[in-house]
Amino acid sequence: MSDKAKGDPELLVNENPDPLTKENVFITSVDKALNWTRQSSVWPLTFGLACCAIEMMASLAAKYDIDRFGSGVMRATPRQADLMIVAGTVSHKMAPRVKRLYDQMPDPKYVLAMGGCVIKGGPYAKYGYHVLQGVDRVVPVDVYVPGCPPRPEALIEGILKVRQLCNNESVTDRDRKRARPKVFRGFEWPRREGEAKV
Amino acid sequence: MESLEILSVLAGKFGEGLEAVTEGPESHLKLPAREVASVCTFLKEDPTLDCDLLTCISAVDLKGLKGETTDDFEVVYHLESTRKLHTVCLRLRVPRESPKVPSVSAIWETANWHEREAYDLMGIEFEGHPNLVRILCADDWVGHPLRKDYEYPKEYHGVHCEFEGNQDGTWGGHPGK
Repeated sequence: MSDKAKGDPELLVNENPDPLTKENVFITSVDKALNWTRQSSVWPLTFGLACCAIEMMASLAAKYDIDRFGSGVMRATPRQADLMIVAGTVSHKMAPRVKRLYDQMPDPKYVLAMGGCVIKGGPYAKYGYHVLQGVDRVVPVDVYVPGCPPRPEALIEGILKVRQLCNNESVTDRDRKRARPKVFRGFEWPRREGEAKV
Repeated sequence: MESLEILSVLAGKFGEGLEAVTEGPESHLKLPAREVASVCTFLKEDPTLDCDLLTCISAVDLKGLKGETTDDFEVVYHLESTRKLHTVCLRLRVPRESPKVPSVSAIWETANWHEREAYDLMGIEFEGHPNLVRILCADDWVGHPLRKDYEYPKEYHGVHCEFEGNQDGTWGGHPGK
């Protein structure tokens, strides 16, 4: 800092005594830094199956704008997505495709079950022959957003919950034992040798 | 042409086994399953009838219906003429054990998917159909779901399908609890 600047009250003077932060050096753990970046860009997979997708599109549009939370970048490929928003009725015919798309997503990955049909079969639960009784019979679900369909505010709340879940990730926890959902009603899928257990 | 007039023309031409029914909510022609292809060809090609549009093919399960003694299936054809502006309804019954109906997909192309749907959900077999496979359910689905004696699957490809209410018989609650 020059002497001229010292005397000028208009200029902001950094009077931080700590030599590291004064030079913009911060110390943190790798996990915290990675999770902080991770939770700022939770990119969802475009996954509209039924009427819930309309609310999902509404929350993408200008009025609700989930881009404010870094989640506005809908990816059309599972390989670039972090979050699968399952929006709409999952039929038995669709379930293997849901599972395949989930498997194709890179870790760490999250699943948000949006709406009654996805959570537990919704209005089709008892007399529908074609509807899966909850997508958590096929993939592990992190966040449940109930509603028929849920309002965009509810979906935003769910995405904020997913952002909190990002704090559970750790580079030392490669199998994501800590971060995986504790509730998984599904059966054990056949696994390749050495593949992490869900 | 009036609907009654059409029905009497058809009943007069094909004679035995055909019956024009004018009671009930919709006038229709009852016919045996073996006649459906010839009647439909006549309806399409006759210049005064000129039914160029097949609106719908429906299948009805008559089992347990009030006032019904049989458990047959009924197949209903709704035809329309876009030039003469009249409609015709045809109904036929097939036994539950062997629900076989001649296909009309060679007469109207649109019958192709209608017949596949009736086959998929109700199990009506359309003879002479070029590609009679399921259209809505998965290819390896068992049974025809809209039949009244359909049994819900317990498991499909390893996924448990049965309805899980709560223990007290109610619905809802938090998943996983």
